[in-house]
Amino acid sequence: MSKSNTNGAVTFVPTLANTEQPLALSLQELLLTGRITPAGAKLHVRHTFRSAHDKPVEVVYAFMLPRDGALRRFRIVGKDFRVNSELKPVKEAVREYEQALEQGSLAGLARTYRDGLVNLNLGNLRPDETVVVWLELLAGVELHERGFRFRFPFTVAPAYHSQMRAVEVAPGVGEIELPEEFGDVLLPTWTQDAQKLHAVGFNLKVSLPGTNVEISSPSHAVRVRQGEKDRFEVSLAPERDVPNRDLVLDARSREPLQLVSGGPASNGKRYFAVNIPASVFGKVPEAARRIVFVLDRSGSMADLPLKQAKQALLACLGALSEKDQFSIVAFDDQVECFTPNLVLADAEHREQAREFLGSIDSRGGTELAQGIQAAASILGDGGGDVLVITDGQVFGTEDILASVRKLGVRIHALGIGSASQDRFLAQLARESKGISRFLTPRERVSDATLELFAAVGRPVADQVRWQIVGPAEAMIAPEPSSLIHAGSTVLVFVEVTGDDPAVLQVSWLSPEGAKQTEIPLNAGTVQDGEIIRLMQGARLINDLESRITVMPSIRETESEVSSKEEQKLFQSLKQLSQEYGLASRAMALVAVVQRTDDVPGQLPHTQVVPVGLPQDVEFGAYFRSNLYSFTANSARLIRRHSSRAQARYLCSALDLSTWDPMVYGFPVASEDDSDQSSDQSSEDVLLTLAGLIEPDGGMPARIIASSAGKPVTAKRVRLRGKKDAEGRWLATALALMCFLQHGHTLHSGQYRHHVQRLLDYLQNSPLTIADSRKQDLVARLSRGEVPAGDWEQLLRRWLAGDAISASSFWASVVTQTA
Amino acid sequence: MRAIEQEHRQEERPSEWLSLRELAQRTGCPARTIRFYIARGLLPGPIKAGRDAKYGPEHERRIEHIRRLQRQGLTLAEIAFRLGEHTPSDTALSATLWWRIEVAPDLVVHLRHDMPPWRRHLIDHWLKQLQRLLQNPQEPSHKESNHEQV
Repeated sequence: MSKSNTNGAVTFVPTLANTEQPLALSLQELLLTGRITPAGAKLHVRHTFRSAHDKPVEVVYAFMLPRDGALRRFRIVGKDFRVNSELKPVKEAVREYEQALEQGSLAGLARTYRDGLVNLNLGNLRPDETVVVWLELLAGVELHERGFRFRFPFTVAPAYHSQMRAVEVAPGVGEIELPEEFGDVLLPTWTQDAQKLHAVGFNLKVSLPGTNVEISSPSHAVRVRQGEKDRFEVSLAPERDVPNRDLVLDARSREPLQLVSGGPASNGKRYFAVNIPASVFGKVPEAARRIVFVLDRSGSMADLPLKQAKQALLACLGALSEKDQFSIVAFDDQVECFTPNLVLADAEHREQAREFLGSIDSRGGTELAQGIQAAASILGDGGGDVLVITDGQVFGTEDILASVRKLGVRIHALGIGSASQDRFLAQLARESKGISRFLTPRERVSDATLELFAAVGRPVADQVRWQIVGPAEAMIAPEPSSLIHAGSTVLVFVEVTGDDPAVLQVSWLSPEGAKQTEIPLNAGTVQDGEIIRLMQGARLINDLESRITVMPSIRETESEVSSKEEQKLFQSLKQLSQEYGLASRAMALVAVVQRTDDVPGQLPHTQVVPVGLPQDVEFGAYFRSNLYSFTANSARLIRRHSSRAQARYLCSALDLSTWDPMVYGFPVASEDDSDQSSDQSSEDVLLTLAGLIEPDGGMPARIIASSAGKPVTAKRVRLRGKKDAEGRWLATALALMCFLQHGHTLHSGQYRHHVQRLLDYLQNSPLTIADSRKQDLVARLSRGEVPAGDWEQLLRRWLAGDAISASSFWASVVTQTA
Repeated sequence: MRAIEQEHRQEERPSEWLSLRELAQRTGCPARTIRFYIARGLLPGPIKAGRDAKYGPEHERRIEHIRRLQRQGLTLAEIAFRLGEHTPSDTALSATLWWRIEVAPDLVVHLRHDMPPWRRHLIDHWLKQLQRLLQNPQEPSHKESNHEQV
């Protein structure tokens, strides 16, 4: 699809699938610019539209809002015009847009729907005309103690709803239609091959104070340039990219960051954003946990995401102590529970849990609420935590939030996916005072999972109270959580009236007793209260929207919403929108460009901009699996059919071996997904080790390897190994040395809890007490000293099934020590 | 689609003609959705195109029909198919490729090669059912669909 012109330069020529016909794309390019800070991001997206049709077109571009996102305004720029949007109630904005189209004028309409979906409409784009729409929006970031993760959706993730209809309309092109309750939202068409679509790019300014700040991206190749002080310029390294995944940017500093930013805003008030890392509140207490893991096994998790999710769960099982109680729920549109009640995390239960996980494959829809409901009933009245591992690819998230809200359980979310649903997962966790992290399927699961897991069930502060001291009038909104989890950072928005000095006073209950701290709200490095004000507005709008399950009617004769309760919420939403000047489901943005030669009454050709299927989402999971979706819309009929299995089955059943798979349209993927453990990186080895730790903190004596070279622990071998105390001691010491050697100590690194447990095991082992050589080694290890040597190599051999020879182990230790 | 065009020609009753806005109000279907249906070939274009485009009662009926089919669980792709978008071309001497599928030694089914994939998936499914049934007539035909729901 890239063709060389006569100068030898490569030009981008989108073509139609199968044929080499040029594709008449109306959206040519999307460029993301703006500034990202630990308080949030202010972004500008440049959409370049150009019509290749011979009559006027109406282009509809559907996209997802990022976490805590809200649209502020847009500007339409053409050859000799430049028009800014206005914020109007939805009904009025739609009317204005329609009237403009009737008059033959160019018009833009940006309207938010449920789940944070936006339709950006550009009507009456003339043949060969180029129009640029600059869209300004606010977005939140996922805060960590040492920095943040920013996500921006360049594509929309297809998602599940019990009444959706999904079909493959052309080879490799899928469509999803939602029931009427979603209003007149238009979803994009998804194409398997994003190379044929519009180009995307970005050029962002990232600021993060702190030392040794590191900027990276697990999703794109980026070029980072450090500007003055704590500012960085991050841009896409290649010239262009395709819309098939989110942009994910990480900014990390070496130490936890407490920050105050803000200042005076346009309305005369002062606005502050305060980032407070959890370490300010204290250390993670040692306490037994009650936890239910909820694993999404739906069709959309097929292959890589499910594999990653299972790996994450295995690592969490390894971090459980014998006093912890746990269970597992696996759900698609049915729920399967590991146990009906919580069980102790002893050796037997953990082995059974591993076997249970081994039997889980991907299938079916994503009935998340049912999964969480099952987890809540397992927890019963005793309370506890739910850790959901999901791609969050669901429509109708407001309904899920409503049903989960009633359960009153604390939910933490580990999202996995290359396209953003973290807006929803952030809401899900925040509403229940939990925390959330979102991974991309290709990045290592260990860091985020274990960091998240270490925090779950052991809050560092409870009953946190927030107040402003000093000025007569001040407000904290939205209300920050009263529960603080390790590894997280709380973001507090403060609005202050008047010029009196203000102090944020925080008091809380920690395991050591009542505590308090004060943070003066001096304008920080950024004197930009206006941006903070907008970010606060975006947060408030998101929080309120998550409680509204309906779409406003745009019919002239009807009231916007019928139910009284929703009417009230809608009124509040409208007020919020007006106060902050931000669009929401109640208020839309509209702009009209009148031109002298407008031809009234012409009907533009409506065109929906296609997007790429997110990387690592299997096309068949949505568009080839639900054989019945067009004959019945029951959730139960949107059933499991892995596309590959289906292809194989159909081909064999109908003797279709002679069919051309390309024409037939089935994926021609290889069957063999087997792991090659020899290819495992050091991080993979550590992750495997973490998952193998026994409840008593020690390692098993031996591993037997499967034929594929993948380590498999057999219960039989483990039980026999239990008697082999010497073998276990050696394996444990080796594992501990390996963790230490890779920089994971008792106090730092995401494996610190594993390190602690391994060390505890060795220190308490009767073998250590009886042997001075062992005592010496354990004492050194407890100080973080590791005898030099290739312990990882030894461990890899052990993981492959070799026993550790005591004599060679001690020989290495002694040699290296000498 | 051809039928409706003929109706257009007969439908010379301008008093019943509607503007897009009126059509949207009358059917409760947003104007943008109507434009989208027209672009998708689900609805014919306006009776009177160009300046001051007009729509007739057939548009109204058809929008209601589409909405009804959607509520029954049909996709727009299938509705378009049902409404006759995919009637074979009547141009003489145009060559068409067909797949020949042997369901049983004495039963052959021909499928047009360019049918949309969703329809192909559907037909494959029923052919599979048919083949099973032919191989084992005792097996109740609903067993398969129960199996799918497991």
